Order: sequence, then structure tokens, then C-alpha cells
Amino acid sequence: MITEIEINSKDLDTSEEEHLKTMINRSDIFNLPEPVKNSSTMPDQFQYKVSIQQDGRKRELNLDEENVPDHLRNLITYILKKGRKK
Amino acid sequence: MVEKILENGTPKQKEKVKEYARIAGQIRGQRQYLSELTKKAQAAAGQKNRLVYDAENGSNLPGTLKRSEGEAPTGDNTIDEAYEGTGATYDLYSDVFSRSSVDNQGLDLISTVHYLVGYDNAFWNGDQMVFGDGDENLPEAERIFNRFTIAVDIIGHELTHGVTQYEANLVYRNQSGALNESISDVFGSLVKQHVKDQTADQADWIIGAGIFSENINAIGIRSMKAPGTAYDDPLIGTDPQPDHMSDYVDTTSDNGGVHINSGIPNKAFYNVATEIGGYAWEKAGLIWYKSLCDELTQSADFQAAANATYKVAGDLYGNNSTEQKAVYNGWEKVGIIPNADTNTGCSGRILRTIRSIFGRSNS
Repeated sequence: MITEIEINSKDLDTSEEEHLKTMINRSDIFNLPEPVKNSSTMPDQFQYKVSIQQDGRKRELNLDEENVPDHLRNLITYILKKGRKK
Repeated sequence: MVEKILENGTPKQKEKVKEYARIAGQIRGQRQYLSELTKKAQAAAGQKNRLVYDAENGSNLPGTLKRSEGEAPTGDNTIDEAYEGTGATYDLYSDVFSRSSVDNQGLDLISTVHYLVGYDNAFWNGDQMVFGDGDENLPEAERIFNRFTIAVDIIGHELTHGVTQYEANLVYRNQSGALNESISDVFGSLVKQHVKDQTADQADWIIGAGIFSENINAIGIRSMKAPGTAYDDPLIGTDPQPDHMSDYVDTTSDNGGVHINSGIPNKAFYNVATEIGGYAWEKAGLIWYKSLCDELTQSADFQAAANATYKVAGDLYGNNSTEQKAVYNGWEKVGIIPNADTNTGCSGRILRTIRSIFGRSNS
């Protein structure tokens, strides 16, 4: 099952926008090395494609669940929660 | 050494080791040691040995042991469903295909439940199964997923990834990965049908019925009978599975569409099982099982699976038998023509292409 969630910080209230910015900074996504693809993928584990644009910078990462750094995991969890609301 | 004999020895050697263990246990008074050896002996002798652990919402595996083989229900639905579901899967493989557990050598069936918080997934990690609680930590109105042990075919699906690992070891990418997924769906569905004592025409052929909460417009995560129709909801999107090669999805997502294009071989199996009729595990299931164990290789594609199942159907029931014709028809309906000459897939395709170029196509 593939789900796609897009969040525009301009649509968030000020405190939530700040919260999102903090999480992006903590994830250090713009400086994370390109993840190494495992030679043998575990069946049925999650895969994430995270794409962020901020202040003219862009970063896209494709990660297997087991390779997600903790701070980036927090950001992903936040995005998934936001995407749950119809 | 004792453990090695229990794993690899002849029945006579195993019996001697069990006797030795009994005597040694009495002499030393080491009841725990005896119990552990007995469990290993049971597994080696082809008895199921289920162990259900609780991650207690953390990620450490396997976690805390909560229910072992032969113990009474705990009252925790998730633990007890994992125990029953792994047992049902073991029984199908044992009773129908004479297979002793995942590795055919009596491997312990280890499950961990209550993995993380709000974890909407289940997986096989190469050694054991892991099940999330879905969204059961949330108020009902906010839930998408129920707990993942709720569907016995999901448990059968995950354990079958283990069986595939020990047999064809299909590479989890592109068509071989989609075959890997499909084989897990096939035997997951057969576990459910076996439990419910359903014939092919009585079965719903839905994978993961009950996994979604009532808030979601879904009947399951996949339909083998009608791939692409399992769900359609604003929150989770539309089921993307094709049911024919003409709609094959070329993608880099999902390891090359392993959960998407598996709809094609899933539909082929459904076609074969319903054309043969009766209990699907008896003939169609046996054909697929023998193909997985004896014919398919790591890089097998859909064509190789069609060739292999066609060959095995001929070996088991005779060339031009109704069963072999059903296999041919089942694959043909999804756009793949089985080739009796070869089951190697790629080389078979190349050969047919060359013959086609020179006007001698045999398909």
C-alpha cells in the first residue's frame, strides 16, 4: 500500500509551523548521507521517500524502515499523523 | 553436539539423544535443561513449537516470552491470535505438504506482538514474525488499521516469507519480488481456507480481511479474485494491483512494485484453483508448493513461475491432464503463456523471441 502525504508549512498555524521547522532541523535531513541500500530487503518492511523543500534547498531520501535515523523517524511520524486527518 | 544431532541426525540418532537427555536430566536434576532439550527434540521430530513474545510497545526483539507451546490462552487477544495463527500455518504445511515448519527442520515459530506504538504493519525479519497493534491505541473514530494478528492469512503470509527464504529464496525486487509476495498471499489464503474448511468457490480470496477499521472503505489489503478492488478510500487511496500483464506497473517504488504486480500471479493462482475446484490446497496449492521448492530459482520471473507450475502439474497429474490444462488456462488469462520446453523464464523468453523473429514461434 502506497500513501502520499504533502504538508505545506504555510497551511499550519504559527506554533505548528515552528514545531515542524524544529523537527526538520533536528532531523538534519539536508546533511544526512545518502542511505546505503541493503542487498537483501526484509519482506513487508516500510519504505519511505522523504522530500523536503526549505529556504530554496531541496532534499529527497529513499530509506528502508531499518535505516531511518531516530530524528528523521520523529519527522516521518509527525507527517504520517498529519496525513491521517481526512 | 547434542543440538546438532537433534537438528541434523537420523531418527535413530535423535531418539538416542532424547533418551540421553532424559537420563542426564534425571541424574543432574536439571529439569530446565531437560525441558529445553525436549522442546528441541519435539521440533526436530516434526512437532510445532510456538513461542509468542511481547515487545511491550518497544522495538527490542524478541521481547518477553508470554506463551509457549502447549500453554493455555493468556487472555491477550494479540498473543493468542499469534499463537493460533502460527499453529494454523504450521498445520497446513505439515498436514498437506508434509513440511516440518518454516525451514522443514522443525524451526521454532517465534512471534513478537505489541511491537512499537501505533505500528501499522507486520513483517518477517529473516528469523521471526513481528506484529504491530495497528491503531488500537487511538480512539475508534481515528483508526485506520486494527491489530495485524486479527487476520490468520496475514500470519500465514509472513511465515511463508520464511518458507520462501529457505526454498527458492526469491529476490525481493521486481518480478521475483512480486512472486515472493504472491506466494505469501497464496499460502496465507490457503491457511485461512484450511482453517475455515472452504473449497475454492467458497473462499473469499481476500488477504487481510478485518485489518482495516470500519472507518475505511476496504474489504482487505488485496483481492486475489479481483486484484485492484480491495480498497478505495480518500485516506489510503485506491488498490493499485493489476490483474493482467497488459496493466503491469513499471515502478521503482515498493522494490519495483512487489506488492502491486503480485496481483497478476495471485489472479493466476485463483484462476487455476477455481478451475480445478475442490479444496485449493489439495492440487493447485501442491503444484505451487512443489514449484517453489523444486523448480523456481532466486531470480525467477512470472514466465518462469508459469513454466514451473505447468511442468509440475504435468509431473504430478500427467501431461494434458485437467489439472495441467487448468494451470495453462490460469496463466493465459493473465497474459502469460506457459512454456513446457523450459522453466527457466528468461532463457525461455529469449528463445521464443528468437524463434518469433525467424517465424518459428512455438507459443
